[in-house]
Parts: sequence; structure tokens; C-alpha cells
Amino acid sequence: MKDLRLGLFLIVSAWLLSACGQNGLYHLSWITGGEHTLSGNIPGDLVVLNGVVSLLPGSQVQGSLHLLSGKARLGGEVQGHVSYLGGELILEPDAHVRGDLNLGGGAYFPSPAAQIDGEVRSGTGIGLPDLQEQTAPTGWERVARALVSGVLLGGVAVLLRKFAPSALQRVGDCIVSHGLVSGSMGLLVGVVGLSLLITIAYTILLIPITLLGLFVLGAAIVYGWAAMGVLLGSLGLHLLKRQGTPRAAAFLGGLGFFLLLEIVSSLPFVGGLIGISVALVGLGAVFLTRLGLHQFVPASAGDEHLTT
Amino acid sequence: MSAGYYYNLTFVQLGLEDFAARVLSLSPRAFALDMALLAILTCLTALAFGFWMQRQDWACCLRTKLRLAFGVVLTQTMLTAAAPFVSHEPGFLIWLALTSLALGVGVPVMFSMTVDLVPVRQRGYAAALTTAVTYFAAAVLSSEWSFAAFRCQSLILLTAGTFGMGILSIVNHPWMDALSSQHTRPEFAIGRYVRKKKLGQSRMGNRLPGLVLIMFGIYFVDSLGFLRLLKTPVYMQSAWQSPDLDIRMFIAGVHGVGALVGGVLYTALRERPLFLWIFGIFGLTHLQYSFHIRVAEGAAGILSMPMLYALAVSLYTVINFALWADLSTPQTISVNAALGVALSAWTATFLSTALSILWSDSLSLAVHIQIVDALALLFFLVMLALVYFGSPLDQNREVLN
Repeated sequence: MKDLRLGLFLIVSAWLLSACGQNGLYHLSWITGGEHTLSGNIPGDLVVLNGVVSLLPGSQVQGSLHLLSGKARLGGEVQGHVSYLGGELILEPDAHVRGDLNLGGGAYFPSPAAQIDGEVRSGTGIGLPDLQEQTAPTGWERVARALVSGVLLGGVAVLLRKFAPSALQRVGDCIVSHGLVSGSMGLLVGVVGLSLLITIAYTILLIPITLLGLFVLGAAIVYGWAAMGVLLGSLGLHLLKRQGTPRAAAFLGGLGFFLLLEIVSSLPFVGGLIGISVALVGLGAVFLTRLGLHQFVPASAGDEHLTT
Repeated sequence: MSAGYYYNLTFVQLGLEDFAARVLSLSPRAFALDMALLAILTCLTALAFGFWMQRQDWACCLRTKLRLAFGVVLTQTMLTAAAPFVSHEPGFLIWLALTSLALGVGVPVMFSMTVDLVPVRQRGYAAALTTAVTYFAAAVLSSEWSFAAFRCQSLILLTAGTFGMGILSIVNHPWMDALSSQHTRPEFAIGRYVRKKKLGQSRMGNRLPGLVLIMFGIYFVDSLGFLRLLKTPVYMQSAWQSPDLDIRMFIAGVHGVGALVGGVLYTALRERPLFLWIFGIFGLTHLQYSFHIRVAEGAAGILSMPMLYALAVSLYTVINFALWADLSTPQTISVNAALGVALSAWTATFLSTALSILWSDSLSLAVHIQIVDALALLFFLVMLALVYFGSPLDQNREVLN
């Protein structure tokens, strides 16, 4: 079994790596600093983050050139587009851009003899895809969306109640007994986690990691909501003095919790803050209990001598 | 405590540099050496006085501590008032030496009052409140970072402090007698980490140097990076020194919220996971600065960078205020506070300030920030290993919990 897993890992890794090779599906060259003189054929795209790049006459970039900062002196051919966001772009007489030239900020020095086959766009001239104008949902649409989302949350609560009841219980206990600690931890995880994921996205190559991280953060928040829904369901049954199956209570609790959250979140001034706080408390509880796998016991619980 | 920390944060750390450069025309190198001297002298004074307090048993007498604190605040008030009359470097050195003596005495005296005034269970929250008030005031009030502005604010605070300490040191009231005897109650006297000593006899001895080293690392990383950013107007003008009050209010709010989060988590989690967070946040924020320097050098900074910086600073300041008292009893707090605050915070801050000033001339901003980032990540990895592997005593503690 272990060998099979290792074999699968190697196959998947090799498959992913094959896409990054010089003759693979996609190739990208990064320049982050220093002075570079390029000659011959440069496969794939070229991204200049900083530094000085000179493309000699007779040489060719087979993809597009993206200049974010620094300086690029083009004397050769670029088969794709040239996009320029900042820094300094110089087109020498032998420069030949087969695609479009998209100009952002910074300094641009074209030679009259430089050849550009595509369009030259600058500032607002860069074409953006037409997006359908989004209108705010009407009252009934909001109710319908909230109901559908509530049903989905109820479903998640039922699934968790069925397959991971102990974990859900631990998260719920943490929310009830240590709400302030959960909220504080949730705030830290949320703020630092989002900052980290956005920073990772700057590398462009690691955008999939960012998307995965955002999914994990979102899933953790939904997990926390589901735990709160189950608590609400149990509380509802207790208050109504009714006997119900745990799964029905979990479903109704999840649905009721989401509808309640929607109503509270729509309150003026404080609604948004309450909604965010609830999400952070759930996120923190999930983090403190390590996805519900461990009971969270605060450190101060061991300081029994302090109460004497 | 809050007023004292504000004084150190603004007047001593930032105001004196402005004074040395603009009034005395000292070179950055000369000023760096002078500040290193201040750090070492303060540290030695604090250690010597901490041990002296322990020998004399002054740490167990609130009235003595209040009288000493009155003397310290009065001396600092006079020194701050006299500062503009210093017109040459030898005079500045004498002024610094006197300030070092006052600060060195002040560290063990002020920190040892914790065992009289703050019960162990509330120390995280008290530290959070002190930190939040200090940084909120520093972020909102300090739009102009000049010697004159900081001196004016400091004099107002110090004068009020002198007056308050003077009254407290002479007042004879049953309420004061009650406060004076609080350090004999276990909920005030026995720091939360002290009891663990009985479980692992040698642990206490190992714990303090380790924590001093970690706090030294935190202060060193913070000041080494921040002092260079301070010299980069584009990052200051878009954050701490922004003319836009909204931005300063946002940073002040982050400091406040960060401090409260730190207080809650310090009480609930113990210090080691928090250290991990702090080094991680420092690593991330310096990484963001590195990215910004490389990709958009010269452009206004993104608000998430000072936000993370403020968060990390608030978290570690909370720990620094609470930790040394929690490692101590009334008999040991003066020495532990001197070791902790003077050896880690003061020495690290001013040594890194001196190094930062020297590097400003020889290293580019990108390289400087990259080194700070590497240091933060190194500490982060060490902390990660410590948290992951844990010590046998920590496992023992988990069972106890």
C-alpha cells in the first residue's frame, strides 16, 4: 500500500513537472533583478519583475513579455503580446512585436522604426471583457437565496452530525465555553491567513495554493456555522421540550441558524460586524480544536493554585 | 506603565534620533554608538538595581517601590525638560548616562509593582489594556515625529506621573495598606509558571534564559526592520506618519484590537504558540515589504503591511508586560524583570537600532528588509520545532490541564 502511494505520488509529480519543462505545455521565465542580455530563442513567456533586460536583435521571445517594473530594451522579436505596467520600456529600431502592445504607467520610448503588428492600447484603452451589470437581489430573491443556503448548511450539519459527531461536539463546546478565545483566534487566523494567501497570489505561479487556502478557510467557517447550527437545534428542542432525532435537530438548527444570521447581518450599522464576528468565532473554534479532533483546554485551566 | 512605555517608545527611541541629527548634527554612526551605550548602561543599571532590590527585600514593599518610582519619574521629567539645553556631544553623552540610570532603576521598580496590583489571572488583560492605550495614543497623537513634539507630550505625561506618584508615595490610607499586602496572597504572588517548577525542579532555570533569548529576538527583529522603514518616507507617509487621520486611526485600531487579542490568547494559550504567531507575522509582513520594494518601488505602501506590523508589535508587547511577572514571586520579580526587560527588550531594541542606522548607509532597503525577513523566518522555524516537538514538561502540563 505504501509502495502504491509512493508510486502514485511520483507519477503525479512527474506529470506536473513535465508541464513545466522547456518542451512542456507551458514555460515561463522570471527576472527579478540584475542585468540580463538575452539572445537566441527564449521559450514561453518572459516576466520582468525588476532589473534590466536587453533583447538583442535577431533574438526571439516565443511567448509574451510582461514588464512589471525595472527596464526592458527590446531589439528583437516578441511573438506574443507586450504588456507593460511600470518601469521603463524601450523599443529599438529592430524591435518587432507580433501581438498587441498594452501600455500601463512608467516611461515608454519607442523607435519610429519599431514594428507592432497588433493594436497599441494605453490607459483605459485596454479592452476589458463585457460583464453583465450586477443588480442587487430583490427581497424575494434574497429570501430564496437564504433558504437555499440555509438548506445546504442544514445538510452539512446533518452530514457532520452523522459522520463526525464527536468532532462537531468539540467545536460546539469550544464555541460555548470559550467564545472570546475562539473569536480572538479566529480574528488572528482570518487576518493573517488572508494576508498570507494574497501574498502568495503575488507570485502568480502559486495562485492555485491561494485558491486552495481560500477554500479551506471558507470550509472552516462553514464547519463553525454547522457546529453553531447543531447547538441551536439542540437548544430549540430543549426549549420546546420536544423529542427529535439528532439529525432532524441538526438540519433544522443549521437552517434556522443561517436564516437568523441573514436577518441579523442585514441590520444597519452593526449587522455586518455581528456576521463577521460569528464567522470568526466559528473559525477560531475549528482552529483551536484542530478541526474538532482535540478538545480545547485553555492553559489557565491548569492554574488551579490561582483560585486559592 | 502606559505613560512610561509611551515615553520610551516616542521620546527615547524616536525623538532622540531627531534631536541628535538636527540639533547636535551628529553623524548616524556617532548616534548609533551613543544609543548602544545607552542600551548597555541601562541594562547594567537595571540588573544591578534588580539584584540590589532583591537583597534589600524592597520588591516586597509597595511603599518603597512607589517612592523609588517617584524618584525615577521626577528625574526623567527634569532630564526631559533639560534636554534642549544640551548643545554638544559630550553633554549629550552625560545626559544619556543620567537617563540610562533613571531608566535602569525604573525597569525593576515599575515591573515589580505587578505582584502588588494585578492578580495573576488578570495579567494578560491588564497587559492588553496597557498596550492598547499606549499604541493607540502613539498612532493617533504622533503625526509629527520630531523631538520637540515628543518632548512636549512626554513632559505633560511625566509631570502628571510625578504628581500622581508623589501623592501615592506619601499617602497614608487603609486602601494603600490593603494594596501593600496583596503580594502575600497566592493569587497575586505566585506567577502562573512558578508552580511548574515544583513539577520539574530544574525547569525554571532553563525557562528564563530561553524566554529572554526569544524576546531578545522579537525586539531585535522588530527594531531592525522598523528603524529602516522609518527612513523610507514612502512607507511612513502612507502609514504611521500619514497626514490622513483615517489611516492613523486604522493603525491605532489594529494596535488596540491586536493587544486585546494578545491579552485573551496569552491567558488561554500560554506563550509559545503566541511566539510562533509573532515571528510568523513578522516574517509575512517583511515578505510583503520585500515584494513591494521589488515590484513597486517608490509607490505608496499597501495598508496590509503596517496592519500586520502593528498586530505583531501589539501581541509581543502584551507578552512582555505579563511574562516576567508570571515567571516570578515577589522575592524574585525585580531580578527577573531586570533580566527580561533590560536584557531582552532594551538591549535588543537599541543594539538593533544602532545596527539599523549603520546599515542604512551600507545596505540597500531591499537587502536590509530581506535580512530582517530571514531572521524572522529563522526564529519562526525554531519556534515551530519547539512547539511541534515540545518538552516532556509541556506534555506533563497538558496532562495536568
